[in-house]
Amino acid sequence: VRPEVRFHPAALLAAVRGKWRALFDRDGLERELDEEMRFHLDMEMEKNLGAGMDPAEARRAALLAFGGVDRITEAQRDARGTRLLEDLVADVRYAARALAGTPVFVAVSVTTLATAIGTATALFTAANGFFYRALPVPGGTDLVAVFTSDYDGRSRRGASSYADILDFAKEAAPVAELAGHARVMLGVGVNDNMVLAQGSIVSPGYFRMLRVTPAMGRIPNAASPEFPAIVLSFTLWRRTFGSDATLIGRQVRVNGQSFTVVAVAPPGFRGTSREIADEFWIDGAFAPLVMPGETFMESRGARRFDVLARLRDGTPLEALNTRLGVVAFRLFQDHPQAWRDTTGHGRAVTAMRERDAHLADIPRGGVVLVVGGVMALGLGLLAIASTNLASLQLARGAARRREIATRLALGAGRGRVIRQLLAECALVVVPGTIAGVIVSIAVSALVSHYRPIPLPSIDLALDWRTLGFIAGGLLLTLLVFGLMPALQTVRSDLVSDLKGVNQTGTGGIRLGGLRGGLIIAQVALSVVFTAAAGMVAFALARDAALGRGDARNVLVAQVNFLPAAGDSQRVRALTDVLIADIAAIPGVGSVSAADFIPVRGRRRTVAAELRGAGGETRRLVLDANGVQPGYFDVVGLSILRGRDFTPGDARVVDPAVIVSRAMADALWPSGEPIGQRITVDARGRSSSAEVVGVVADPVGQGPATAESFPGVLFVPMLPGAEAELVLHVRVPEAQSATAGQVMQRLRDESLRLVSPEVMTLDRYYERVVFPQRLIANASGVLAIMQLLLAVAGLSGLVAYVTALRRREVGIRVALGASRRSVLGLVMRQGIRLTAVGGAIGLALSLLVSRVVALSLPVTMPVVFNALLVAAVIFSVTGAIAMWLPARRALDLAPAVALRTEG
Amino acid sequence: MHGWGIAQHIQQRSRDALSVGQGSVYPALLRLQNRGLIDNEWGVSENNRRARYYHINGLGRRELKAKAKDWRRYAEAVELILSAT
Repeated sequence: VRPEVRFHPAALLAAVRGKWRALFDRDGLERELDEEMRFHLDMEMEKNLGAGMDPAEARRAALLAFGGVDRITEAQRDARGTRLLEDLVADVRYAARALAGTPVFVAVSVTTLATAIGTATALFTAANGFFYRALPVPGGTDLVAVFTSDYDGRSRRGASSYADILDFAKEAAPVAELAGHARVMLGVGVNDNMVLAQGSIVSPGYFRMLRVTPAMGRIPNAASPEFPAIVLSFTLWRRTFGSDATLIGRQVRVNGQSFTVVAVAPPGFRGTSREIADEFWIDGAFAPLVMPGETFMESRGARRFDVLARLRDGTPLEALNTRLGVVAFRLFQDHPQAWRDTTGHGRAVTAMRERDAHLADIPRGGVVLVVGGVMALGLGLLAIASTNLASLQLARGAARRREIATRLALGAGRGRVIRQLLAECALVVVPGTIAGVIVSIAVSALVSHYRPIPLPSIDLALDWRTLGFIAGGLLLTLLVFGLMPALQTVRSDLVSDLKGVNQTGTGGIRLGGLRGGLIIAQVALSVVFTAAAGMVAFALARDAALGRGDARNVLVAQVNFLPAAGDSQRVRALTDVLIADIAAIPGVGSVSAADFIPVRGRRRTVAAELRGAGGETRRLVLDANGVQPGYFDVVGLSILRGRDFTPGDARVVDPAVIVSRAMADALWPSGEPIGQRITVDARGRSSSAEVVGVVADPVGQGPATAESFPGVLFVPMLPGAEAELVLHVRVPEAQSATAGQVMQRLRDESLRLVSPEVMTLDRYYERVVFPQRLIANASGVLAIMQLLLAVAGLSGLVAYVTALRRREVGIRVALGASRRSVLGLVMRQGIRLTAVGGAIGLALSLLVSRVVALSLPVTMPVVFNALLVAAVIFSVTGAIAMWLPARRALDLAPAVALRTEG
Repeated sequence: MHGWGIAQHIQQRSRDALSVGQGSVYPALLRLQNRGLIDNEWGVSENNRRARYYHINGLGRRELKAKAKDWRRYAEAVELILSAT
């Protein structure tokens, strides 16, 4: 048929009507066909009778002329053109019936798939958003990044200074809008409700260039800012200001200065950095207010701003680059000091697509590695899930050998049987995938809405890459989970399957490498996950058990001083007043302060020099902490020798230091540490310090990796120098009333400092290990799922072997075989596969312990215990899983077993 | 015309040359139907029985004309080649 006829509306309508009837009115069609053919045969018979034939002959001749009723009926069905679809419907219907009988299999499969696909999709979405997508602002793909080359002229992608940005913007104005931002950390809030938040100082026109429309309020005209204004992020507005709809136009304090809230950014806008989320934005004109004494706003040499631009419609990138080249040359002429790099040339200013610039920052191999790693992790998860399901499917296939053999014998093509098995898979895979995608969308929606962690500006919405990834995963799952077992199931010996007998021969039952491999893989994975969960749990327990008894009696409060607190002299005075005031609160024992809380994964180090007895110099890197007098008493570290710090020790010249016992033993293995001298580089100067005391080793300090030096060096804290410290308060027991009073005292100073929270040291430790705890729990859940799947696989295997060996078992029992030998016969293969898988799993667990050791102290006993637990758990459950179906072989009466032949 | 009539017609007009399997007309009719080239309706036959009547429609007529032209050209070409030998 010619195309103009085929696509004629009438033809299309006829085709649709035909297919519709074929699918939904099959009975009607069949009835009509039947009637039509009967009419035809009757007419032909009548004609033959008229020609003088007798009735029987007339009928025979009519049938002959017609050419076979069945053949025509079939041809007619083919002509409907919906054969494939009809078969598919039949397949799906049949598959649904088959699956309805095994709800547990369906539930396990769908849940496994949904978990795997959900996790994989979430991982992929994050990597995709971070590496490959434009910033989530209107027209984000059109943004370009502008860079000033670095001081040595090597890297072209450096930051720019505020004064330069204003010049860039002026020069670029005809071809592009241009603005920059620099990250700052400021105290924001009202009254005593202050938080320390990450935000940005932005140059005029930042929001207009990004085309961000605020969720509330209005961004003031950038050209002439009249009063100090702040734009809040949606999260900050909700978290700190309780989603107060009347906030616009009201005053808040920013580092102690009064600012007017003019707008709240839309929920999806988190600034223009992909690594860190911004919580507020302040126009550069008002930066000096909140950061007095900072010179980076005026100095052309202080390059702290990242610059973005949006080309005007139809302008090529080269036009912007040309103009930036001109302005760079002029700035080099006008400010040679700030614009000359170490090679003596002027710096270059270049623009490139923002997305490319972002990728260009990272070495090519790095991107491939990270993205590849994430992809591999996601696909690996999927592969594990599919493998598990494939194994279950194989077990089902084995149980249905006779059913399948019967269908094959009745004339179904192998292709047809495979298609039917695939339909069964699809019925599990498709809902599993949909559930998985829903899970991942829900998770990413929840995460973007509630932002439990400050997520930076990356686009988490579904895009074609993510959809492609999901489709690929689906295909992979179908292939592994569906096609492989299906192929193995139909590649069977028809005759013996039909008879229900399998030649067990002397060589035993061939399982097929695929099936054996799957069970080994499952056992191994199950052992690995159990061992990993065990390792994390044991390591955490050991960590918690290590002398943290005192931690419940210590309150800690992180304090950051604001510029209004004044210079270091005044900060020091304020600290003394705070400590004295808090000590006066009823119920408080003693109060002190430290630079930071040493806890796993966080450390500060100083460089030190030690002159040996022979005059040689050892250079060392030591874990260190600055503390106030009384700190050891507060946290419960006993002073073993010498004395504690006194207020007089806090001097820059000739300071006193205290070492912990492990460090004392390592530095002066034979001799008295008190009175020894060590040169310490601190705060830009090196000074010779005298050891005045030795204290017990603190617990939970830094990762004790092989290369780190043991112990801790304590130096007197000099408040004000870093403008932050942690107050430590000893209380008889964790009383929330006391914590509240401490908090109140700190809030009284909200113009001069920010202190978000007062909590027990114990709670602080808990919070620090939260990610590890999460991993332990997740690993535990995975371990249980893996265990279930492995157990299902093993028990299916033994049930299969038992069924195949019925006859042999019957003969053996009849001949007087012992129970043990019979059990051995049916369980032998399962035990062998378990042993191999278990050994592989234990070996892999040793590798996993290295990974766990990166964030937790994994000692030999911890690893050993975890492996032992995994091995025991698996042996016990595995044995039960195999024994239950194997028992059936024992209960078999010989006569029955021997008779099973039909 | 109903199916049997069409089969008879083909048989007679082709002088029995195309009598292979009268039943084959039904799948063919269904295909034409699904392509929108013919219509059908149930009616009463000459011997008072329910029968399905097929008739060509406008689209079918156009297609027939074009196809017939194609066929004639093809047959002519074959004839020319055969007569040349």
